[in-house]
Amino acid sequence: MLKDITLGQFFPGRSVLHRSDPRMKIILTMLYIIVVFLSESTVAYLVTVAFTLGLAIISRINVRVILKGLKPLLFIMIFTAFFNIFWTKGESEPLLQYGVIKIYKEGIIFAVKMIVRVACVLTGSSVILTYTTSPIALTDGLERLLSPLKKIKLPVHEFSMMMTIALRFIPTLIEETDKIMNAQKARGADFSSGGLIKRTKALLPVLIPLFASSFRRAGELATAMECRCYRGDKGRTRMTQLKYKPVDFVLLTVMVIYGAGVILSNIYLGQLLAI
Amino acid sequence: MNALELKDITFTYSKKTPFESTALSGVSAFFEEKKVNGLIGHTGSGKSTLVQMMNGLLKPDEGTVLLMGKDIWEEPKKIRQVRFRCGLVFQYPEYQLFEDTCEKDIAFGPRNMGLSDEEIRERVKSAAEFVGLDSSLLKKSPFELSGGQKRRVALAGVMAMEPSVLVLDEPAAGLDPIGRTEIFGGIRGYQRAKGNTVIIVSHSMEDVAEYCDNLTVLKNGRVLLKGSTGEVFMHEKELIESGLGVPQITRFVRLLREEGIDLPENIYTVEEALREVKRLLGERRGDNA
Repeated sequence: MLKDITLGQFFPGRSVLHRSDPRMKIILTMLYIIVVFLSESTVAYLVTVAFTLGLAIISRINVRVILKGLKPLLFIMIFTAFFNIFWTKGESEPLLQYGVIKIYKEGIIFAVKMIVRVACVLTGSSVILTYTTSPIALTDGLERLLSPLKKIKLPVHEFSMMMTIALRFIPTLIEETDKIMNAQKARGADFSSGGLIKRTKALLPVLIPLFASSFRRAGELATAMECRCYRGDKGRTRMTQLKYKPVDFVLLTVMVIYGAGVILSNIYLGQLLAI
Repeated sequence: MNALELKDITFTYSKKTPFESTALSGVSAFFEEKKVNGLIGHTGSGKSTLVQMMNGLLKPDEGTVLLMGKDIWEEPKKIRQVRFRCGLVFQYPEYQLFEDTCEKDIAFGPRNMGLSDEEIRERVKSAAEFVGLDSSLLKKSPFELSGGQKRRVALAGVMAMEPSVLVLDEPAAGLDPIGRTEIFGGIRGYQRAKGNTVIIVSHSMEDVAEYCDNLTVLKNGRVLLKGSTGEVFMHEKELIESGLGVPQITRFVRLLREEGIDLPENIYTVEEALREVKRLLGERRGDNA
């Protein structure tokens, strides 16, 4: 059923990462992605894997959830790794040779590294940001981070308000779609048989009421917002003020140390554990 | 004979996820043929889930649903046929309208049944009459109508399929008193003319008292009470405990009886009360004379 789709991927909790400021988490995610892509040497990779696992552990997100998050990209990962294995040419003798197919040690190492890198980036960024930050906090953080752009007349507040409203209404729309589909099924609508054209046509009785009610909702929301004197960003204050707390700086420090560790191990430990 | 019978129905939403919630735990209920059956229960008692079991929109985890004595899930591929025989009108059905004219919208169900054009026209006309929809409105777009008129179009859309069991989930929710009377009047007229079975789900004790022959009371996914409207309303204490109640007039009459006024116990509608009070006053005047 439509209801079963988890949206926003947010899992409420009380971990350090949950409590951290959304602005800091956005910055940390960007830093983290940069550092992961800077990892070159084997030691740097090991540091990255250890750091990512550490993040996953402190986030207290269920392992199954994280693995499920990796699943959709599994195919692409394997697919690219597969091509890397066959297409990378090494200097040493090929490990395996069968006709035109030659597999080099470098190819395998490259493929493994690539898989590790993608898996790390995915796990890390979702653990720091999407799994532990509510969509509302996320847009709020984004608005505050981008607020300097207001100086050059970019409607940052309006964009983030639009995003917040869109996120807020996704579950409502799903519920509504479910209801309308059931109502039409009760009148004998058939969504699951026939060819492409027939099926698309069958969706009209769902889409038209859905659009109609979206317009109605939008109108109602606009009225409700005006009743509460909403007039955009001008003179707007906030109930929840974002404030950096000690925990944010601790996380930032840890991230910087991790970055330094990766860079240093690239430079000085490049040969250590070299395969 | 029972038009619809549910046996030991169990249903859980979002199974095997953190959001798992049991809606029905072993519900058995039956709805009598050619009667107006009431189904009442507080919010979250499982009414809406049960209603969706009746025409196979939801499949019970355990238990069977018998429509005219036949298991509806016997042939899962033919579940659409079940929906034509057990018509379901959802809460606030006016939001399901989509065609450019009311006429076409009412014809949506019958058209899905594969009826002939002539038959469809006939059914649309008669369904519109039952719900008291003026024929001049049939050519209009449903989006131009008032809320109450839209509700009638939606109701007619299901009635036009002429199901042997008509299930209505809160058909009068959000309507004004006149709208309520008219909607229920239409449903009753339809039931009498077609001689089919009607199941009304409602929160309003006044409405079920007036229009239903028997009642089933649902509480926390189980059947609490079952019987004729009169029998069920004798259990005022249980009804109040399950977040419901009895019609205000029934309560009023009970209080009057406790004060020693000689009124019968089984009064559920204002009309009945009025008649009895008039009779009583007539008797007294007679005594005085």
